[in-house]
Order: sequence, then structure tokens, then C-alpha cells
Amino acid sequence: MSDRALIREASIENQTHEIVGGRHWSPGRIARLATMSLVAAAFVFPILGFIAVAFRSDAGVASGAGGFLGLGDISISNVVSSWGQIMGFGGSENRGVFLQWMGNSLFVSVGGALLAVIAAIPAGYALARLRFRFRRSMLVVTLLTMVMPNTVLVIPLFLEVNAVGAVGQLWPVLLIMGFFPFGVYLSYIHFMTTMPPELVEAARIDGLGEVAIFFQVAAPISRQAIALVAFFAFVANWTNFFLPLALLTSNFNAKTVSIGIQDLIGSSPLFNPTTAAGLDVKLYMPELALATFVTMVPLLIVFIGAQRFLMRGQTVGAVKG
Amino acid sequence: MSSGTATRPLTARPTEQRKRTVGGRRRLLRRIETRGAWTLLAPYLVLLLIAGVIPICYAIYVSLQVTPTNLQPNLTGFGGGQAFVTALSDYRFFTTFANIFSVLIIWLPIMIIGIVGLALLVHSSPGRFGNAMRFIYYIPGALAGVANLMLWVYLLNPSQSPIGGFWHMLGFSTIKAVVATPGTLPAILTAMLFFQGIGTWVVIVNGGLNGIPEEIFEAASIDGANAWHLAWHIKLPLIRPWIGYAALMNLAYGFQLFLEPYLLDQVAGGALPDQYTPTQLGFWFAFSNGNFPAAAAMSLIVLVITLAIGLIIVFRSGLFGEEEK
Amino acid sequence: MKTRKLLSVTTAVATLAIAGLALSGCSGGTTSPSTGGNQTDSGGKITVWVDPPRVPAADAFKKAHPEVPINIVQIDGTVGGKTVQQQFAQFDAAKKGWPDAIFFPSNDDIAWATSAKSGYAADMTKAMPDTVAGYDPAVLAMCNIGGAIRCLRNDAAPDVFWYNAKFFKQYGYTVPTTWEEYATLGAQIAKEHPGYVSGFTGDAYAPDRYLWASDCPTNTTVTETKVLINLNDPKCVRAKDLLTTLTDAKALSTDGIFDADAAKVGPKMVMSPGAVWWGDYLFKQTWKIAKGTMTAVAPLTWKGESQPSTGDEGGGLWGLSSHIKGKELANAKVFMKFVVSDPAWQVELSTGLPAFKGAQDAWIAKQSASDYYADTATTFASFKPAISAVPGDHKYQLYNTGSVWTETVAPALVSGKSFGDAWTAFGTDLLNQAKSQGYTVVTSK
Repeated sequence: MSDRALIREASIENQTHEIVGGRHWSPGRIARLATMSLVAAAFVFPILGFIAVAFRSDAGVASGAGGFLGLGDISISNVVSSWGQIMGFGGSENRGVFLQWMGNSLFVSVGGALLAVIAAIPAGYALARLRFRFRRSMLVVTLLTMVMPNTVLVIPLFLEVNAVGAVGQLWPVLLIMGFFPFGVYLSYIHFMTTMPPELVEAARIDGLGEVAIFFQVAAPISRQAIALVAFFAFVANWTNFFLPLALLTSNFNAKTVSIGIQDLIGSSPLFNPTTAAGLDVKLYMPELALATFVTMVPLLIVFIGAQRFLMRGQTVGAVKG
Repeated sequence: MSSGTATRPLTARPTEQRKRTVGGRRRLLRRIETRGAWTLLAPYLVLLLIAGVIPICYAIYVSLQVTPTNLQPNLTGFGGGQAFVTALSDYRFFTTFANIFSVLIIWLPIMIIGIVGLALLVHSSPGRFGNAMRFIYYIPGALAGVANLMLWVYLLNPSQSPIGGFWHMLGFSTIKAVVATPGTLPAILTAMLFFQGIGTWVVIVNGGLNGIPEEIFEAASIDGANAWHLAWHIKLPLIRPWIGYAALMNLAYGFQLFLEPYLLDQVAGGALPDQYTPTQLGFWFAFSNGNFPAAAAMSLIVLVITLAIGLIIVFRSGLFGEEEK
Repeated sequence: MKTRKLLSVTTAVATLAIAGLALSGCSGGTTSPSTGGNQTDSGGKITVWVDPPRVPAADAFKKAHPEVPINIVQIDGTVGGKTVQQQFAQFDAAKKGWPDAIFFPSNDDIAWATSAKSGYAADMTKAMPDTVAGYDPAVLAMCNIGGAIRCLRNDAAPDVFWYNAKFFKQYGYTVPTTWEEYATLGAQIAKEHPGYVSGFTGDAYAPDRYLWASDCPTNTTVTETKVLINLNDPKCVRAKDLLTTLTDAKALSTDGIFDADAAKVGPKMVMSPGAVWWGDYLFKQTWKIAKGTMTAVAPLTWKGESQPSTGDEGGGLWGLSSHIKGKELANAKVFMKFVVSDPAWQVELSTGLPAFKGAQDAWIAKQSASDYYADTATTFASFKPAISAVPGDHKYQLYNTGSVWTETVAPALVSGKSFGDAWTAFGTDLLNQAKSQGYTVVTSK
């Protein structure tokens, strides 16, 4: 899509308003608004109810107290006591291991996203604006790796990491997360649509080298692409389950929080009643929901932060890996 | 799919408008450009090697070996296709694929109808309301993975779920009964995947709709088409490439299902099959059976399937169609 | 422009292949069996892995032995879970990282921990002969692998016969002494008092409760790679008939004993074979059945046999690492000795009958004090003798009979299928599981 298309798109937003929508309350319009609102409600209420569980008490959840979505049962003291239980998880030696897991997740997710940006922005630029042999092949490889589900490679990745003896360490996970072909594609589309080839040509005539052109001409206009690559990479890394499961389960303190939650589930008398005996940390639904909610917070923050970049560039709405 | 290139040439060749220069100088410039390109690609290439090429090749290598298993500790060396025979002849091999199909057959149609329906609705509602709705639909997508699973544990547990009445009506009083009663799992997985996946796709297909020139809608309106006609006869055919793309991407996604059945089994007290999907079977080969070659073989089999789907997406969906001259 | 596309794909694939070939050349070794020859010594600090209910045991050790530096790691305690095995597969591949001692979350874990490939669990006959001598050999039968004791049991868990004494007295029923009487009476009670149950079939211990009790060959080791599975054996058929009778009469609950729902059905359980720990853990703590209701007698006998025969449900296993030596090994042994025999854990905190002989009487004395059972003296008198009524050639294998049961029989019965159908599915899956693990399956020794 060219920038002309982007401008055109903006004008659609204004014009279709009159053509399709209309201002009057026709039955079709009411039906449309009602359907959309209903679907939205079906999406929002479970999430609200679930978050509410994090603020409720064990007894309240078990007895179904609190009325609609249990909202009447929520209180700060519940959160405090649930959080105490979560922090107590890990036995006497590893109390508060949950925070460490959060830290590990932050480390690999942020590090992986950073690496993805560093690799994807110049690569996307090169694929979009430079001519070289195997350009098409590189593009095809990137598209293929992008559309293939990432768990397919996890067992081969485990074998590889195992061969270098780094299973149970965080850095291989970070490194692997840095490989983000979708980011390359985003960056490629970005330079295709926002950077006219003439700009590169002009810079060459000014005597700039190819790498210098990227840093002085292309990089300064790639804010949108950087934001999107970082956002998508972070979300993908944070929610990644299978890769940490294969690479990190063997090291209790090096887990990411996504697989750490599995440990919490495994210790919950709710699903594993044998653990109820003799256990001083009791993890029931409010504790599990609170732990999950805490893991959702970083996602919500980056999501709201990236919102304007996300919705502005329809170009990149085009594909998601 | 001729509309693909017409609506959206995402890929264009770099400009050919350069003036011809003297042959030698041109070759020199070319060389400089090539060198620059590979320099800029270098970090990505390194990562591609580490996280893509090497593991695949190493998996091929491993799949051709035999390693000691729990019961046969003295096996080593070259195994030919033994690992593939082990994987293919495992009694669960075809079952896992049948399971995937039983999920896909429910999930894909619902997903596609949902995506198209919501995207068309959002597109017919420009302005603040439509944008707000699109945002809301996207929220569950940001809570993928374990968070989505925990959310569903909450929804599926009859004793605490806001839809507990529904489960009791069906005769389920425990989460184990909900999840492990034969036949419910594909429907539950469908619901989970739909909830988590739909928003992203609505944004994507909506982006596709926004790329259609408004003159088309104008012309149709003048001809007397109402909103319904517009959606059904004009918009739908135009977004066919995106629908195909969504269908194929979700199809490929289906083959790598792991987290949901894996953790649901734990939640249901082990009442679900441990190896419900191909990925779980590969995982079992690696970590329960200790048979890394068979695990590698299993990965490669799934890899080939998704690679085939990927090739179709890249070359046949029309979305990545190269602008040929 | 098909040819160009084709060309670019070919180039792409070729690039990958060449890079791969170049790389695979230098990446050589895969895993090889761990020989146990590379033992290490940390200089004293030990790492122990315990499931959540065993955390108090490790904490008690830390209190009693402040001189031993210890790292206590709490692991996923899911019975039948795969996490621990997965972690060990990674340690075996990396040849490092094993804990020095572990409480196995599932008893079946001892199968892979003693496999020739892993060889994790040390030979306790050599490592701690004195402690092994403190056990009744019958308790350690499942740890006896190829003639060597490879694990130590935390608690003994033989099944005794539990019944609701109040119910039996009120309606004048006679407590059965044979399995056949149990089946007949169960059917009769179900008919005369609908809603009352005589057992549970939904948990992973159910096959232990009925098939192991019948000495049905599901888990019999012939050689290390050969197992005996024969569900057509008369000893299996009699268990199948028993369960068919009870299921047809709707005398059994399809729940598992650990299910949340079982707490509602539990108080309506009139009788059942069940482990000695059912009394305290299940009846008293979980189902909260009133004092003076439940009571236990000696296990049932099969018709035509002179001795009672009973199953065994759990009774956790401790393993010691074979990969350590020196001070680390010495400290790990101190830990092992403590958790299996020290009253500070086994008597004061543990809910199960200690497997270690020396701790049993003190535990019984302590548990008897609350006088919870209808006939406390008879109940506790039945516990120790039940140990020797457990058929000894049932060994834990790499396939998990309990999981096969919960994945086949339990859902089939829940959805209303006949026990015969469930049994067929169980048999098929059991054979498949055993074969997929690489076992040769024979139907007779």
C-alpha cells in the first residue's frame, strides 16, 4: 500500500459514514449495533468476572457469594491475603519465587523484543529498498517462517540448546525469541509504504554509504515500525508457553511466569486434592486468578501504549503472525 | 485469485527507474548495494540461523539417529528411517491428527464466519463506536496463552462460573466432567481458540476492507444497494483473499495445538488423553519416552505439513502476490 | 511467472539445506547412557525435591539438622504428572542438575528413575543397608528392582476393608469377608438403599484397589524389557466380574475419591476396600464424616483362597541420587534416613502409616488417641497385617496403569457405557501404552 492509499483510507473513514451508516435509527442499524454490543459484552464480561475473582475470597468464590459476577464479594483485604499466599509459594527456600518468575519473563520478553527490533528494522529496510541476489528467496523464507506456527520448531530448538548444554538458562530463550520474522515483514511493509525509493537514490547521490543511508535516512522515519515490532514481539514472548516449557522447566528459579503458573495450578488443591494435606500455602481460585491477573498487567500496559500505533497503521493490521 | 494483486500489491520490486550508467560503474554500485544489504540483514540472518535453520537441520540429523531409550540403553548411531517408522507406527499417531481434525472441523467454520461477520459489522460502523468495538474484540487476543487458559478454567468450572447454570443444565457439576466427558473437548477447544483468536483477525480483515477504494461502494449505493447487499455482494467477494489467508493460518495453527489440551488435562485430574495432539505426542517422545529421534521425526512431520500450508499461503492466497512484470 | 517463483523457492530451500549440512557436520554427539561413573561432590550442600505435602518433612529435617546445608525445592506434585520426568530427561541429556534426593510425585516414577538409561535412583541395599533392614520386605516389594532395593517408602498404603459401622448396625447387614460377598452385598444395598455406594471407580488408584488386589497381571515384570499383561487371566476375570456386578447394580460411584464431588458422595459410602490412609485423610479431613462412623477390618479374601488379598494405593517413594559422592552423598543419606524413619516427621506430621517398622507403633498410638473410628482398636489392628496381603509381583512400569484407567474406564463409566466396554478399552490402551514404551508383552511367564 502506498501513502496515497493511506490518505485514501482516511477519507473512507469520513465518507462511508454517510453512505452506509446513516444517522437515522433504521431496524438494520439497531440490529447491527445490538449484535456488536452483545458480542462485545460476551467478550468483556468473562474477563471482568475473572479479574473480579482475583479480588474475592476463597470462601466467597466457593459459595458463589457476591451476586452478579461476584462483584459484591471483592475487597482489598482479599487481594492482600491472596497475594500473601502467592508470595509464600516455593517453600521456605524460594519464598517469593513468583516475583522472580515475573522478572525472568520481563527479561526474556523485553530482551527478545529488543533483539527483534534490532534485527528486523534494518532487515526489513534492506528487503524493501535494496537490490541484491537472493532478495526474493530471503523474502520467501521470511514469509514462510512467519506463517508457520512457532511451536513446530520447539523440540528441534530444545535439541539444539541441549547440544550446547544451555538447557535451563534464560539467554537461549531470549536469543530464540529475538528471531521474529513477522517483525521483519512489518518493517518491510513499513519501508515499502512510507519511504519512496527516490529518497534512497538521493542519499546515494549525496555520497552516503548503504549502511549510513539506513541510519541517517531510514531509521529516523521508522518509529511506527519500531513500536509495532516491539509490541508484537513483546506480546508473543510474554505469552509464549511451549518454548519456556521445553527449555526452562528443569530450573525452578529460571522459569518464566507462563510456565510458573502451571506450577501454581499443579499445587492447587482445587485440581490436585492430594496436595491439600500438610501444605501451608493454599492456592485456590482467587490466588490463581490474582497470579494470572498480575501476569496480564504488563500486557495490558503495552497494549494500551501501542493502541494508537496499532489502529493507525492499517497496513500492518494486514497480517499478524 | 486475480483480486489479490489488484487490491493489494504488498510486495513491489525496488525501483527500476535508475538511469543506465556505464557498465563498470554500475557493477560497482551493485556490489556496494549488495554488500550494504547483507550487512543490514546480518543480525536477522544470525537469528534465522540460530532459531530456524540450525534447529531444523539438527532435527533432520537427530531424526536419522537412534538414541538409547529407557528400555534400550545401548542403542546409538545411524538409524536410517527408524525414527520415522516409530513415529508413524505409534498407535496414537493417526488419532492425534484425527483429534486435530475434529477440532478444526468445528472451529474453522465458526472462526471464519465470526471473523467475516464481525469485520463487516465493524466496517459498517465507522467512527467512535466501531473503533471501540474493534478495540474490545481485540482485548482477549492480548491475553493469549496461560492467561486465556485460566480464564477458561474459571468459565468451565460449574461451581464458580458465571455460566454455571448452563453446565448444570447439561448435567455437569465438576470441571472434570465438563472437560473429560467424551465429545466435549473439541467444542471447548473451539470456544477457547475462538475467544483468543478472533480479535486479531477482525482487525486484519477490517484493515483489508479499509483498503478497498470507496468509489466501489459509492457506485453500488447509487445503484440502489443497501447495507446488506453492499456487504454480501461487494465487500465479501473483495475480501476473499483475506478469508483464505485467515482460514489457512488458522489451519496451520491448529496443527500445533499444545497448551490448551496439555493444561486442561492437568485441570481435569488427568482424565484427558495425555497425547491428544501431534505436538503433545512429540513432547511425549522427547520427555517421557526419551526417544529424541522419534520426537525430531514427529516435529519434522508437523513441520512439513505446516510448511505446505505456508507455501499455499505465501504463493496462492494472493496477499503476498509479487508484482510481476 | 511460475518459473521465477519456483526458482526462488528452490534457492530458498537449497540455502537452508546447504547451511544445515554445513552445520550438522560439526554438531556431533547426542545423548548416551549415563553410566553413573561421573559422581560429583558439592562439598556438603544438598538439594532435595519434594511435592507440596512433603514440604513439612523437609522443613522438619532442616530444623532437626541445622548442620546440613539444604536447598528445598517444591515440585509439581500432580499424581500421574509428567513434569518431573521431563525435567529428569533434561538432566539426563545434560548430565547434570539432578536433585540429591526426591520424593516421587507418582509411584510410577520409580520405573523411569531406575531404567538403564536414567539410572538415577541409587541402590539402597548398598547405600543404606541398615535403613533397608528396618523395613518389612513386603513394604519394599515395589522398590525391589532386579534384586536391588532402589527406593525407600514413606508410608505403607495397603488396602483394608472400610465400612460404615452405623449403617451396618442400623440395617443389620453382615460385614463381608470375601470379595464375592462384597459384590453381592454391594448390589443388595444399592437396591435396598438407592444412593448409597460401595466404592469408587473414577480415580487412578481404582485399578490398584481391585485389579492389584486380585493379583491380576497388569504390571508384572518378566525381564527388564518384557512385561506380563493378561487381562484374560482368571485372576483378572474374577475382578472384572466383581466390578461388572457392582457397576450393573449401580453400587459404585463413577467419581474418583479425590474429586470435589466425592465429598458429597463420600458420606454415603457404606463400604469399600481402601488404603489405610483413607481413614484420616479421606474420611476425617476431606469428607468430614462424623466420629464413630467408619471402621476398618482385615482385607477381603477371594473365594477358594485361604489368605486375604488386597491392593495398595500409593504410599510415596523416596529416591536417592546415584550421581553424588563424598560429603554430599553422606548428607543426602542423613536426609533420607530422617524422612523415612524420624518420628519428628513420620509420627508427628505424616498422615500415613509409616512404612518403616520402627515408627509404626508410635504412629498408631498417636492416631488411636483421637478414637475417631467406630472400633478404633480393630481398625488399627488391621493395618500392619494388611501389608503382607498385598501381592508382591506387581511392579511399577514405564506405562502408567492408573492413567490408562482414568482415561478409559472412568470416562466410559461416567458416560453410561457398560463395564465390559470400559474393560475392553482399558485392555487395548494398556497394551498399546506398554508396546509404545518399547516393552515386549507376553501373556504368560
